[in-house]
Order: sequence, then C-alpha cells, then structure tokens
Amino acid sequence: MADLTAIVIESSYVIRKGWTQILRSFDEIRNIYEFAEIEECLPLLPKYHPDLVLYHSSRIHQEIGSYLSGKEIGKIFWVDISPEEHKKENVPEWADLSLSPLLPRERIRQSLEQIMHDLGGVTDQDNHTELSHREITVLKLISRGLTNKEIADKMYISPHTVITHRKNITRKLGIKTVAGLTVYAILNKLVSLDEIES
Amino acid sequence: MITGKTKMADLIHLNHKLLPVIGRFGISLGFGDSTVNEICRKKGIETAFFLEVVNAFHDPDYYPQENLRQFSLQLIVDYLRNTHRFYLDKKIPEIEEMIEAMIRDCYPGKEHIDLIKVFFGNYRKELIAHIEREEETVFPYALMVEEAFLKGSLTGEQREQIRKRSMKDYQEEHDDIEEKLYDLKNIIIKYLPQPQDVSGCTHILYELFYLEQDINDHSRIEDKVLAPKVEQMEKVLLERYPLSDG
Repeated sequence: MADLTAIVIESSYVIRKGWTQILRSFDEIRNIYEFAEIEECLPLLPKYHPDLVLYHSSRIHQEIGSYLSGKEIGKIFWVDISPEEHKKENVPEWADLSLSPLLPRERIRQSLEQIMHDLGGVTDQDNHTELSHREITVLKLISRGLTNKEIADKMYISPHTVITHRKNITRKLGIKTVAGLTVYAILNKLVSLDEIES
Repeated sequence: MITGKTKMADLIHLNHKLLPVIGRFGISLGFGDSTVNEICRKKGIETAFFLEVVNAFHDPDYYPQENLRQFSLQLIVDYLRNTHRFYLDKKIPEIEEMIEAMIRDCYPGKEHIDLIKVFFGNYRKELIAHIEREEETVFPYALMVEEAFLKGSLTGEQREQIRKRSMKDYQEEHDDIEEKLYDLKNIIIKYLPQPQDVSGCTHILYELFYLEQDINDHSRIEDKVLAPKVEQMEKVLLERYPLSDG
C-alpha cells in the first residue's frame, strides 16, 4: 500500500470536508490534514511531509516560494482547487494542476486517480509484497545495524540504490523504522539474535 | 458539539474515549445529572478551555478556534503536562503489564513476545526523551515568550533566545516515535506468530490504537494551539522591541 500524505487548505468548511471525503476514498492516501488558512499550514509542512497539497487562491505563490526555499520538504504536488480556474482554464504558476470543485464527479475522480498514479501509488504490479533476494540481503544488513553507506560498499551498489531498496522494503512490509525491520527479520529467521547483538 | 449545558454523563455516552481526558482534568465519575458547567465550576476548571479540549478530542475535524488561543499558555502547558503523565504513569505501564502477562502465560513462542517487549521498551525510552525535551526546553521557552509578552518588555537575553531558536525551530525537530508505534501495530497484525489464545494480542493492539490516537490528538493541540500562539507573540515582541535596547 502506498503511503501518501495529503493536505487540504480551504476556508469553506463544506468544501474542505468535501475534498477530504473524496481523498479518503483513495487507498493510496494514509494521512489527510485539514487547514482553513495557508498561514497555519506552512510551518507544519516540514513536519507533515505532504505529497499532495490542495489549495486555492492565486496570491499565495510568492509566500509559498519564499517559505519553502531552503526547507527540506521534498517534492509536493500542488493542486489548485479554486472554482474560478474552472472558467479560465489555466493553471496558476505555483500549481501542478487545477481542479475546480465545480467539475463533475467523474472528472475529479479521474484527475485524482492520475495524480495518485504519478505519485507512485498502488499499481497492480506494485502489489507484490514478497521481498526480492536483493531486498532480503539489504534487510539483513539493516538489522545488523549497518548504515546505507556500509551496505552499499558490501553489496557493490550505490547508496542511492540502497535507499531505493529500503523504500521498497518499507512499502512492502509496512514497517518504517530500523528497530521494526529488525524485529521482522528475527521473526522470519533472516537473522539471529546473536548477529544483532554482536 | 459539546457545550456547557451538556450533561457530563451524556458526554461519556457520546464518546467513552473522553474518559481519560476528563480524568486529566481531575474529574472522576459519579456525576449524576450535573452539567459540564456545574462540574467545572465545582472543580475550579476553566470551562471554556475544557470545552475546547473535549470538542477537539471528540471530533477529529474540530478546528480549535480563536477562543482556544485566548487561554493562557500556562493552562495549555499544564494540560499537556498532565497528558504526558497519563502516558508515562498509566498507559505505558499498562501495556508493559500486558506484554509481561503474555510472557508469563507463556505458550510456545515466548521468545517472540520477548522481542515485542524489547521493542516496546525502546519505544518507551524514546517517548520519555521526547516528553523530556518538550517539558525541559519547549514548554519553558513558550512560557518565557508569554511572560515577556504580558510584561511588555524584552531583555536582550530573551531576544537572543528567540532569534537563536524560535518555536518554528522547535517544531521542526521531530523524531520517529509515531513511526515506531505504527511499526509495532503492523508487526503484531501482520507478522507475529499468533498464540492459541489471541486475546492478549487483541488487547495490546486495542491499547496501541488507542495510544496512537491519543498521542495524535495531543500533538494536534501542540501544533494547532500552542505553536501558533507562541509564534504570534514572538512576532509581536520582535517588532515591538527591535534591537539595541538590550
């Protein structure tokens, strides 16, 4: 299962609830945070690490830009949800996509499905939860307390590849922390307790 | 929505998960037909604050409004501290006891439960560290800002503190305590070889879900009430007392 975090910023209570309700119906979304105003949300962006932000109003571009510069929050997919854009048919500079709440249900669902797909959501192929041989090797080394760099050296692969393996392991198992992965490895007899304690 | 006229008994019928919340305010059961207003008055609790907290807890989408921000930080900090005590003195020992009980009632596979015990022990250590950090640095800092704000003066030293490490900086330091809890749930749900009597695991899971929810609600009050309020005061202070009067 994918693990996307979405934020909805919308001052109208009814519309905000509507967007939240729709987003909830997507399995790919795990967390949704709601805000009425952008000001309340900006300081929390580094903490929540959203993949997707629904927001409207055009005045905000500069504010977002200046706040985000220099912050490590990764790539965010911004969706403009102002109803006006529906008429103008153009996407404001800060947004990756415009999605008016006035659009019919199917259009909205299709667009969101496309976004989930682009953001690395669940595809049929991805649904395999079995670890590959390489992933098992990486998992064993993680449990023994090795760092990404050490694992890379040992397996003759780049640290970047190690990170990709780790992400896939976490996605497949639903376990995020090293401590959790270690418990998994022991339960499945991939490593023994002695190996970990040494 | 819960109001001052709501009967305390109805509040519990509405959502029994509020039981520990009212406990943190020092309210115990046996309230007869008393309303929230009556009980708060009797116990010397700021009713409006109580209402904001229970509403925020009861409805995950409840938006803490301006009025919650009117309360003194001391009140909010006291509440957050009580919540911390609740985790450390009540919830964590309860879960530990459940894990111990499973080890005692030992079925084949005791070593698996031992792993859970170690994992939870580590989680507990991190939670304690997290709480200590908040209580020893974040809360005193927030109270310092409020004091300066109310007094209407800012010493050079205080300004330096705000400049060096503001509320935003504190907020950005976060740890993976939420992720550990998530992992533990998944390990039990998906991977732990199940004993013949599954009730132990069911109980623990129930408690873990509860704890996770409670900690989320707790963070919500920190993120949406405490932090914005402190940031607002920081801004006013720095504007009103610009450099050089140290």
